[in-house]
Amino acid sequence: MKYRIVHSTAYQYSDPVPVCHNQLRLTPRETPYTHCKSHRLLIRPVPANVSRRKDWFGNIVQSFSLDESHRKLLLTATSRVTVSPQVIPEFSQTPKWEDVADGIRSQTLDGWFDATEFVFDSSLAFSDASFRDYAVDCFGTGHPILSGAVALMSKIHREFKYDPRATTVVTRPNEALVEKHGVCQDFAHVAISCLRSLGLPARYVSGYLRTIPPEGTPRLVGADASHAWYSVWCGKAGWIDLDPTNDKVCGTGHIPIAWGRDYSDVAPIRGVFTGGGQHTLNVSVDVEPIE
Amino acid sequence: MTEIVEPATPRGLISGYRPIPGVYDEMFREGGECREHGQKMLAELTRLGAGELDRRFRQAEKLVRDDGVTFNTFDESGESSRPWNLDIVPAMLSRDDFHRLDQALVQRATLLEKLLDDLFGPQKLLREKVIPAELILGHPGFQRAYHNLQPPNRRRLTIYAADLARSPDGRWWVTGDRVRAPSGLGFILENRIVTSRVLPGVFRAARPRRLAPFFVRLRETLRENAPRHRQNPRTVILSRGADSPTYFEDVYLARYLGYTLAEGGDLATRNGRIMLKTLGGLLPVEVIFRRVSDDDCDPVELNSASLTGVSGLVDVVRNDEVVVANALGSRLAETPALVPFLPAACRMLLGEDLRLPSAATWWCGQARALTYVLENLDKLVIRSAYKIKDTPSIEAALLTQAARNELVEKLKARPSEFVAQERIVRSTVPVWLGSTIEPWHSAFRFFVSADGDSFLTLPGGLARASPDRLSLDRSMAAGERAQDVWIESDGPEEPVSLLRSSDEPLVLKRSGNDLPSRDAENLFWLGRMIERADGAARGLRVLLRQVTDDANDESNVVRTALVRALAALGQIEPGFAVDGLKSGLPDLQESVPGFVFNTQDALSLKSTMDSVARLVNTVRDRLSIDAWLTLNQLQTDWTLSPGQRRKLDSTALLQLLQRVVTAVAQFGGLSSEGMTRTQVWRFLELGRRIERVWHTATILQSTLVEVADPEPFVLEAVLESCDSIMTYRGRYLSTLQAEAVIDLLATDDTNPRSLIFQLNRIQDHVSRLPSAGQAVLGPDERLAMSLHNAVRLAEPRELAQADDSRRQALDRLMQRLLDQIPKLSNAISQRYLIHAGLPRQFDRESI
Repeated sequence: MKYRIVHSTAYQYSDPVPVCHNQLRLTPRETPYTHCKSHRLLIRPVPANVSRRKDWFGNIVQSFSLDESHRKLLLTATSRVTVSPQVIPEFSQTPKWEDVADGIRSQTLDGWFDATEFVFDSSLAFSDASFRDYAVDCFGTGHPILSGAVALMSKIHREFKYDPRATTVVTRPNEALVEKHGVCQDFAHVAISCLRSLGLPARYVSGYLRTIPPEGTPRLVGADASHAWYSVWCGKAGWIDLDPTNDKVCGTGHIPIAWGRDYSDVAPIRGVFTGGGQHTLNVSVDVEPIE
Repeated sequence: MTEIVEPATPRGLISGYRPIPGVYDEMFREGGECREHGQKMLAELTRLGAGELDRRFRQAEKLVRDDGVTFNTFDESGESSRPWNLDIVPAMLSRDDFHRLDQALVQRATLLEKLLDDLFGPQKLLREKVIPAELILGHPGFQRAYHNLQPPNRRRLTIYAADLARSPDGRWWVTGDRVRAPSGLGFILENRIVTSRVLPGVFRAARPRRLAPFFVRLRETLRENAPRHRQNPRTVILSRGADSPTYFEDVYLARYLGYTLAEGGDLATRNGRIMLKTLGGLLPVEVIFRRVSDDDCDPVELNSASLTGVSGLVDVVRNDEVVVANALGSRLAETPALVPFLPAACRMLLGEDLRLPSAATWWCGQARALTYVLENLDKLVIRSAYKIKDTPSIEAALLTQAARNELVEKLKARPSEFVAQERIVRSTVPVWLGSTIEPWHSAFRFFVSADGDSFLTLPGGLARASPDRLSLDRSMAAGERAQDVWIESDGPEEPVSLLRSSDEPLVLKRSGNDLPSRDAENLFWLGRMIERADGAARGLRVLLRQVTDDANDESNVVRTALVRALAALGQIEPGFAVDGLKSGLPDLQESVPGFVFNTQDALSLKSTMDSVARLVNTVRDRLSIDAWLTLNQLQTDWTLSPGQRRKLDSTALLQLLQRVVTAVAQFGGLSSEGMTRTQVWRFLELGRRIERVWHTATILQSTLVEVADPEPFVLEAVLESCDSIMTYRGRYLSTLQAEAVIDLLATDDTNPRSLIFQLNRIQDHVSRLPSAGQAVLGPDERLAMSLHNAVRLAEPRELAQADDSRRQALDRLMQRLLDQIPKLSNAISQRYLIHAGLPRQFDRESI
């Protein structure tokens, strides 16, 4: 699949902002299945310099500062991405989940080092008895790890209510677990916390989702949103992305931007400014399939 | 070299000294005879005798108090600073002892630097399982932003401190590694200065090694590390500000090393560089010697809630446009859980054995260690494994059964968050206790500085002593006494001073435009507050003298006028100035101390004095030492215990008011004689002049607009409140007339107390500020000029003219001043002083 993705963010301030510093994670990631053909970032007012680097997780970070006074900040990221289908292993062919957990703990399984940091607690996804209890019936003794992870995804999809008003970007997963509601971000944090509680490495992925309009209605431009899901490490089978919001193993409709331990590692825009008074924020995302 | 040394047989002040059995004593052997390296020092101390020693001890106490050495340990009300208690007996170490320590400390610093290089780089230590991956990758302080942040070839550790204890067999043990922004260097310098000043003979006889060469090397290292102008890079000490526990030391080091003291708000990122905001504009900074914790240095990439850092700093470091010492992220090396893995890391990174052992430590994140810890809990101290904050350690043996069970549960539930440490039986040092010397337990802190490619140990240190062995384990601030650490020298030492260490020719400078805007602001307000205190004290003094007089018609008239003036100045309850309300209020005389000490009221004299104390602290490095001492002493006089406060009568209060007037006069003299005419002085002056206009205009308006009957006594009180009575009498003898008084206080440009005199000075100052003197006048210049002209053109006779017992012209002129003066003050702030607001975060974009 080929996509043209336009992600626009507009900040409006009631008072002038003399200075701001920003870091953006808006460039789709290169993976064996995704290729970002072009990426263009438009910033108004125009900063003197935009620097680009890779962070610890390999995500592309663009940073810029503005030191001329402004009342409006406009960011438009336009990306062209090709996504090829990922070969998903037979669930039964993936290792036993206990073997993955043991191999990580004992630092013996091939590839342990790169996976191991995703088993430890982070500020928005951490192990706890309540997550273990919630996940334990998905991971029967000797089950293949991917069967367990998919069962957990379906359980969250089944039992949690999608409710954009119930949570914020800093809601902790233990609260979401008690209330059984939230948005894609909360579902991903709950799933990651469950997997870590079982000693399994899991990471947070931010990205875009192709939305398919109901039959007979045209695709609405700009009505999409950025999305999030999680990825579980299956030993020699590698990382497999799962989307609990849609109860789906991720395919060509999912376009990853960045991954990390949880949302706070991959927030699309992080910034500090002075002044500004009241501010409003408008975000629009448009994922347009081309060809 | 042979020298006859008195035999060190115990006698005199040390006759009662008994080293504690089974404990190492730094000065005496078990049998009681003095160790060789301490003999000269002991002989000199003994020669002084107990009486003299105690006198010197008090002298030292006073020196420390005068220098304002405090280690702020906030009490519950959050305001007290505890003075630094310095013992008069130095802790002396032998040449050989220090030599071994030096080598071991240099090795340890090298190890920690290489360890950080690896953990923030290739992470071989983790991949090869020398250090468990969880310990670093699961470390809440392992910010990913630090990884590969440091450009190659930059020193990561510029300064390292080790906390040490000596066990009964004489071996040294490390109880803690400090790399964040270790405090103590300022105290070490101060301890040395005071100790050598009160014990000059002992100092000469024992001849300890000098400290200055170390600081010269430290400064050189910082300079050599600068990314661009290595000749003379602008270096700042980044401080957490006047409320931080180490502020005294931040100021002290800034002064000693010759760096600018800056807070986060004084620095800004512009065009990829770090700039210091000064009166003359933004100046590039090359080196930041930080006293701020790693994670608080940049809200953009690190702790977003922090206000002490500089937005964008991490990116500037990444691009190698500024050097931060110690490097951001170095704190990781302080992690207590790393301790058990240091010997193996040392073998891998340096190929040698670790010379200096740490106190035995177990990281509970390892199953075997946890089992051992649970079995031996009572012998161990439990601490946080990662030490994000200075959390107190837990002594399992001292816990109640319930608390102990709770601890065991916590250890089992989240083992990786804890370490257990064996306690070292600490050595003792002799401490002066008023008439004898006794052994107290000791903790030592030593400092190591980067030096070229290697490290250099400070031949001195900080010893803390306490009779309670356990209290020393708690924190840097714990311990009842501090001691200067003396290292036996190898021979005579070259004197070195930091003031003339460079062979480079100096460029002569006169300007002072690089004054940080925040300092200018604080100086401006210090000027205002000092003058406000002076005005209030003078007014209250006149009032107190009046109310103690017998009541008669004349004194009633004067009292009414004074009460009105003081109410207008905000010094007493306004109700006293309103006829109808007066009867319902308590007696004026008894109420005055209450007003003066009402800290709820921002204008009360005590509140003003508190502001002075706070401001003086923030601009301490900008004032002359004598000017600072004067205000510091005044603050001490004005700090009353609740008991003193209750007993405060008008006589005692009058004395306190007198102290204010005298101290302000002294301060004024010292600042006019002792300060160069730089912007520092100008802002202080501007503050004082502006406040004085406000004060005098308020008094003239509230006392002379309504013509009192009879008026002469009121005129006299006004002259006295405005410090012009002697001038007046010199001119007109005892004939008191309104016109002459108004002329003297308003329009006479020879009287340094008159309005026109202040306005003259103000106009002059604003015209010499950095952005002044352009074709179009700034708003501050325009306001100053218009106020000056208004008073200059006023006719004293017209001002004194009354219709229906009311002086309309005087009222109008004074009202104009009172309206415009705050505007002038704001205009100056806007132009030179105002800061951008606090940094804010974007609401994180919702997904």
